[in-house]
Amino acid sequence: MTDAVFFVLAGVIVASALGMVQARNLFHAGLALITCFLGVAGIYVLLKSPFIAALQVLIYAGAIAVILLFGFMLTHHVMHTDPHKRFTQQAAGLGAALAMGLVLVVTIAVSPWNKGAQAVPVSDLGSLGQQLLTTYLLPFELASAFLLAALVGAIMIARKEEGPPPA
Amino acid sequence: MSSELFTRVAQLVAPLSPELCLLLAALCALMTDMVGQRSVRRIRMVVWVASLAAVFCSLALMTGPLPISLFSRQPAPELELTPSSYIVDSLALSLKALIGLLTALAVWLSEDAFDEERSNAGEYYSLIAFAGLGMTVAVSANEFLTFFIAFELFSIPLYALAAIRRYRSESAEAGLKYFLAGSVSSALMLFGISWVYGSLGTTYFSEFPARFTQVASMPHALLVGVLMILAGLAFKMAAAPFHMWAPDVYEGAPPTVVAYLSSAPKAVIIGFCLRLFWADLDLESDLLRVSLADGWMLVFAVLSLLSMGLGNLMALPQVSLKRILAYSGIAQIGYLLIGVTAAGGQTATMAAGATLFYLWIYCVTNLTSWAALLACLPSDSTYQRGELAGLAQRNPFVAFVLLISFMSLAGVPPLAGFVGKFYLFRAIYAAGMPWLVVVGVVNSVISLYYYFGVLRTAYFDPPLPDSPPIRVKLGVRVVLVIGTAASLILGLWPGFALWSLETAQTLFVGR
Amino acid sequence: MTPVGLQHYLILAAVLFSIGLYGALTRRNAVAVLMSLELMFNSVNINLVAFSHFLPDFTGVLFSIFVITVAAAEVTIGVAIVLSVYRNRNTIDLEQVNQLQG
Repeated sequence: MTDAVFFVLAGVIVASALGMVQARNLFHAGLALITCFLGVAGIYVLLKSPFIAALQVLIYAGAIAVILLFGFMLTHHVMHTDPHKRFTQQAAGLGAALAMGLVLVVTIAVSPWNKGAQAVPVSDLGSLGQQLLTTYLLPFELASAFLLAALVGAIMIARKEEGPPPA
Repeated sequence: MSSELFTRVAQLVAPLSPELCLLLAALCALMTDMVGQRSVRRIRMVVWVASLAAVFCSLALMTGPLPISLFSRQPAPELELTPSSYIVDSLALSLKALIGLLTALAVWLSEDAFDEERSNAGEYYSLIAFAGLGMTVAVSANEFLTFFIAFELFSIPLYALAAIRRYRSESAEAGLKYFLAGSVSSALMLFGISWVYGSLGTTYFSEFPARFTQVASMPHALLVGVLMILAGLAFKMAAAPFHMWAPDVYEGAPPTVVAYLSSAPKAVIIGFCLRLFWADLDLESDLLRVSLADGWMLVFAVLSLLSMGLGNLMALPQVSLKRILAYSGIAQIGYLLIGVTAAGGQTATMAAGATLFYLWIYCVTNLTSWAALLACLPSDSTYQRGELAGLAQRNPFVAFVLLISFMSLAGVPPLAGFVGKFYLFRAIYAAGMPWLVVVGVVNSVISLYYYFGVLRTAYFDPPLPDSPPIRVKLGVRVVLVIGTAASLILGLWPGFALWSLETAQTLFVGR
Repeated sequence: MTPVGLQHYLILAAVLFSIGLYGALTRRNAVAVLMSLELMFNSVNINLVAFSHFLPDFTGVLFSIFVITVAAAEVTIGVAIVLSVYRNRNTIDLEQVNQLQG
């Protein structure tokens, strides 16, 4: 049963990802991206990490997709189509991506992955929070500084000043 | 009871004092911008004082007992050591002092450099301080999660800083190119990290060797993962063949920002390579040495060879000073990678010391060259070589600084760059790769050509008829004096250079 | 047919990563490149959560929380820079945003 669900989800993810990178209409690309994010959330549920799945839906399918949609609505007509790159560049990109994919998949196939006994459910929320505030306190605090820096930078660059721009 | 609490807090705060200085600087810069009478001068002062305080704290910590491990985790039942995610050792402290110094120099350099520096002073200086904070954390990170967050903490402010002149299309384009290159490199590195984690089951560097021995057969995934991490790092420090973004970004971004982003991140990443790849410099159980024998040395040697060759050859036909410095920076990363290569050999301590020594010299000299160009060219300049014509007559002091820093970068005796390169070449010779010495020397000779091309324009061409007078601001003058003094003292006073090198070497003993 | 295991998830992630890389290399619109980058970050997260589940070990899930945070911040700064480019050039076509060259 779970196997079937996995293959369905994987199909949705790969199809929507391909749709995203191929769609000439950016709005369609955005919709495909959201579908892909939701599919990935389903994968997290299969991996028994409902918390990450929730984050995925909230942050990726919610916040990030909205920011991206804003991004191209402010810079484009929604129904505008994005032209292809020159054929040689397309081919080079495709070659690089295929080579990368091939190396990765072959490596996965030949590697003896550590197959531990999958007994303990690892992601219960209580201990997750505990870890976050003890062992991983430093990255947790750093993340707050990081978000502040990103916020300051983004607002400064995107803001439009009143009056004429400085010379 | 309360005194016990005080001691515990002090034990945590003291080793983190350089980071806290920079964090406070970033927050204070933002607050000063908002509260009370807005004063750009005060914002600048907050950040440079805090950066120098970070330098002072790092140097003071170096005199105490080291290394200090923070944020330890319960040891895994099957392993005996206690892993910690944060390590304050002399390698980290030395790099923190360098980063603090570079941050302070960048602040002095920025004084009245462009409009946004004044109109957005709070944001500009707080982003510089945030970048400094990220770098000081990254050099101490002893675990992938901490490193990754710190890496992003210094990357994101630098993207924003590159694009800070938001009504200039070249600055925006530079920001976009830097951002896209940086994000692809982050994604590559993250994918690599996930595979290393999956192969070894831990993100703590100190657990790697022990875990590695438990993995039965040759883990290809580990190898591919580490290669992807290395590609991400090479992107970030603009080592060939991952250097394509650097010349465009250096040309478009404001020069004060480029002076900072072309020196400090390189220090972080070279330091991190030393820590990740040759962590236990003298131990046989070293993770990566086991996994690919001497192969890693060869990987670094190839990166170094490509960076030196491509950087120097591409610099030859350039007429834009920014591009010359960009390609020279790529070549310099090649020299630094010689040191990283040598650190994998038998004489690891010597090589690591030489790398650290050259890192200090390169970062300070590179920043000084940008400062010299900034001092003598008007703010709307396009940085063509011809604009330097007659500099020696128009302002002999700036011309002299340019002479000293370019000759030091080229490695002309008796300047600091020569001493640094000499120790690097000695280290790689001792590590059993004499061919890399030959390549390095040939490259230094090639680089003389373009460095001297610039100096010839500055010294022998007559000044253009309508060249404006050069007035050097106080902050820039301070940077010029410090940089020149460093190049001269380390070069002309071998005793001091030798002492610095030996100090750099002892940093690695007994870690 | 073998039951779905770690390798299936890893292959899914690798394929997603390659598709993202392809998009990042070939799309001309800067926002579309940002979207492709998000695919790459997503594939890393699949890796981390899958390893975490099968090892089993805590760190992967924790790591993925931070990756999501970082991806959100990156996309914010990315869109801000793209807006700035658009304000200056009136286009975000990467082939036309190429004034700096040499």
